[in-house]
Amino acid sequence: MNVKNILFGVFLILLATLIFYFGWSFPAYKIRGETLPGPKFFPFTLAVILIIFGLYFIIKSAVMIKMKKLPKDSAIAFEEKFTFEGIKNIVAVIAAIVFFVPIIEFLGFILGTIIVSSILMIVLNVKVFRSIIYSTILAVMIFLIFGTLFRIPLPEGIIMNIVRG
Amino acid sequence: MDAVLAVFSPDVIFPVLMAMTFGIFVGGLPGLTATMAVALIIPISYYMTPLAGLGMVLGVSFTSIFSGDIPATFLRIPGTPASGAAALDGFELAKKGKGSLALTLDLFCSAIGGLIGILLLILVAPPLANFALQFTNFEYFWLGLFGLSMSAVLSKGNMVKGLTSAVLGLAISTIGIDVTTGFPRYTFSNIELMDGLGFIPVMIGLFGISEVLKRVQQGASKLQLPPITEKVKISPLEALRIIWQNKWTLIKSAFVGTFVGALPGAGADIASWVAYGVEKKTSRNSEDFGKGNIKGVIAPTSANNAALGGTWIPALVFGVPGDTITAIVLGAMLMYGLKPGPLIFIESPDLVNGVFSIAILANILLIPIGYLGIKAFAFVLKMKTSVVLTAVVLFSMIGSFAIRNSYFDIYVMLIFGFIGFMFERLSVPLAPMILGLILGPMVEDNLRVGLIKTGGSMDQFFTRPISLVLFILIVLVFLGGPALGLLKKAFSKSKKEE
Repeated sequence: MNVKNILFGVFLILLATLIFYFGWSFPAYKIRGETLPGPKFFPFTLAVILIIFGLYFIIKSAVMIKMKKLPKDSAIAFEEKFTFEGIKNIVAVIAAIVFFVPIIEFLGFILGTIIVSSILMIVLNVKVFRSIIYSTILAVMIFLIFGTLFRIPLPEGIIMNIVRG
Repeated sequence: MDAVLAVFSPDVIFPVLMAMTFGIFVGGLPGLTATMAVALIIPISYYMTPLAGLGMVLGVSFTSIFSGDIPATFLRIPGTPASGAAALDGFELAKKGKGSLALTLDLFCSAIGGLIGILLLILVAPPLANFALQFTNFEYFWLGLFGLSMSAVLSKGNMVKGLTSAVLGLAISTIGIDVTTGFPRYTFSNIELMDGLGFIPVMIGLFGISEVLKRVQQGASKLQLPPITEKVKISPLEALRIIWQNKWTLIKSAFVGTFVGALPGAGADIASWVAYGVEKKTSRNSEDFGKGNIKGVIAPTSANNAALGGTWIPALVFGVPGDTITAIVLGAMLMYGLKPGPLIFIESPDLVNGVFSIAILANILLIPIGYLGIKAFAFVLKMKTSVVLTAVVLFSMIGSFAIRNSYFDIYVMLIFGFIGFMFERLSVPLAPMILGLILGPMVEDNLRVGLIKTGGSMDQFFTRPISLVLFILIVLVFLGGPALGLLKKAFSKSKKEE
């Protein structure tokens, strides 16, 4: 947990550096020659606080490592160890979200959703036939709620557009 | 009167009923929180009228907090964090074959406690709003910081991590066009970022997708429904008779729940623990607590639903959320074009009265819907977790997309889902981040406008009487907040030792 906290501290300092780097070009805010808090004032203030917190985590954790102590909050952290199955499942969820957009754009919302959902369920250990049934019900339900009831423009898909000419 | 009647129109009551049923389902599934239920319902409520939309959110929060008590009673797995205290005596009663007794009492206490919370909201909010009319930029700046401080201090674990999470939320809120100067900040010429990061995808990512990632990492479902053998059946009249015998426990806990809920950042979770602790400390039979004492069910379940009414007090009156759920509600209100704060009582009295009416109605409807939820619980747990999680992923994606018809928002949701997942591994609380995102514009605008008014001087932030009081309150939060956290910890620890 101490090493994780050090990495978290480094992440905070890097983030603060990025806030400074990309905010440097923000213009100053002057009224009647008087400089007042402009667009960079608030993010830069926050960046300074993040650096202070980052240093706090790094120094505190380094001291704890030296003293061979664990931080008090390590007991409440979600500490499930990464297993092969766990990583496979996480990758499957992330991949399903990443590829959802191009797939529904190409195949249309209902067909694309059925495919993405079925594959995800199969990876998560649901039987193939059941996956397809559940996915079809979910896709149609979502289409009826969002597409029909709320009239959200859900993609019809390139294939459907080609068929229609 | 029109506002009250509007609640009964089909385009309000029907969505509210649907949302309440949805809340029972999500809250009852261990691991899926009441916050997640609210987060998932927001994209749908967005297409309703503001009254129906807010009614849906109210309905879903009441039912999901209650239904979190169902697995807490039968499995000792709280469906939502607010059900933790209810699990202690509820589960002990279930082990003795009195699960139905515990849950029927729980249901009535949730509804009555919720009603008391709402009645206190109705009584307290309007006069408090009159007082809040005296607030200017200086006071609102401190008020925003007060809400963030409370949230950070009362979060589980390390206080500095809570504060870091809040600061990160504030930093995220700076993305987009700066309202004071019109200058785009951190947008990288991306048109999708001009309005800032969408609140809905960030929220769904943090509370929906991160939870899914956490659950799928655990592999196959660990949940098995134990045989529920019921020896004691109980009629609603019998439950009401028991509640009447314990009416002072219920009323006291509801008042405690509402008060704790009204503290910005506290919420139903802490309210239920504090009410349980107060009841245990003041009871003559304190040694029976944790062994199946009926008062140990009545106190936390009255308090957690009463706290929901309490959380709306700072949200409606000051625009500062009482907990994560009202933080999401505030975001939704801004989407509807409503500005929470004291002026809402003057500018939109019909809406405020409608919200009050719908909250009362939702608590009454909780009884039949909750009763069905108890009956349907065995069916809910039979559903394969993988199917439920896939459904959550699909609803999360389409919910994120639907608000702005933007595919970009689906990826924003994914990024924040991953951030939420990693932060949970580091025990960084997520609630302060979402509060920071919501309160960011309030804190920044009021700070900058205040400084512009005073020509850059901070004097007025400390010399105006209400400002000074708020500043002192923030200092007290850092001194007293951990005490409240310790109180909660002490109650749960003393139980474990027993």
